[in-house]
Amino acid sequence: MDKIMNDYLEKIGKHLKPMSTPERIDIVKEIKSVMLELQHNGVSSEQIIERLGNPKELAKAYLGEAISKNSTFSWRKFGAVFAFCSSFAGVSGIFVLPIISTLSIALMSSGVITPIGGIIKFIGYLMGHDIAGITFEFGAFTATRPMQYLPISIVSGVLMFLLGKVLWKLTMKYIHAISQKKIKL
Amino acid sequence: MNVEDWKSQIKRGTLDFCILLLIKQRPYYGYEIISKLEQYPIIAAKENTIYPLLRRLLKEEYISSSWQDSTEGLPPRKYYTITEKGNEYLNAMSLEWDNLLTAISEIKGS
Repeated sequence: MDKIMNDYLEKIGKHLKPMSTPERIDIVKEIKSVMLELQHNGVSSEQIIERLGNPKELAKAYLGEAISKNSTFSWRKFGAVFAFCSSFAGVSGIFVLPIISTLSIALMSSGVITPIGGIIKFIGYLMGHDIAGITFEFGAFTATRPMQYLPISIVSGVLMFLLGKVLWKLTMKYIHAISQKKIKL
Repeated sequence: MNVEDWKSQIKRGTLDFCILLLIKQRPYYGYEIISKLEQYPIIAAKENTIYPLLRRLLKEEYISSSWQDSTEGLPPRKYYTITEKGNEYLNAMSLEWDNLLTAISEIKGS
């Protein structure tokens, strides 16, 4: 292991900071293993580095693959989106991605909470209580009749959830596009 | 017409399949997979594609891995084996692949 290769491994480790420590160590260990393997086959350090490509791009490929292969939602992925952003700043990193991913999650959770509110309010009505804590307002319109609670809350909940989901899918596509851009297959 | 673009799309879409097919036969380590694929230009891919891809297959539990010491001054190697879930995924892909080949050969005509 000479200096060129050690420096390379250090850079990879640094760019993988957003990942958990055991995972990062494992990745660096595997790259080190392939370096030694190549060296053993008579490939020079310079050629090895050349072959592996820019350490930042390699790290980006790891972080990108961890996020975007399928676009289903999970909290682990949500964390990974932020890790990806913090590691690769730039307009999309500090701005666009955190905003759209947070917005999509806010929409999805509102989509779940709103119908629950509607159901609680409706059950309250059936049992003869008016739950004042829950109201439905859209701009100037306020739902006053009990029969309106349920359909309004469900329809708006579904709409918000779908919108959030579309936004999440877009986020995944976007990340996939930028993490693949530089690596030519 | 840009056949290079098309080729890289094919590669992107079939690498999972090729790697699982390889690993199904016996445990492979990363460098070995790369060397094997390099024999075929249409699916040849470098470290910066294969290693992150293996990591994803691991996370999705299609493959599992274990470090093994190797002989005579070589570094320890990380070997990959296919899991039950990986086998199911591979079978599903094989089926679709056969469908694709049949479709293409029928469309081409005999």
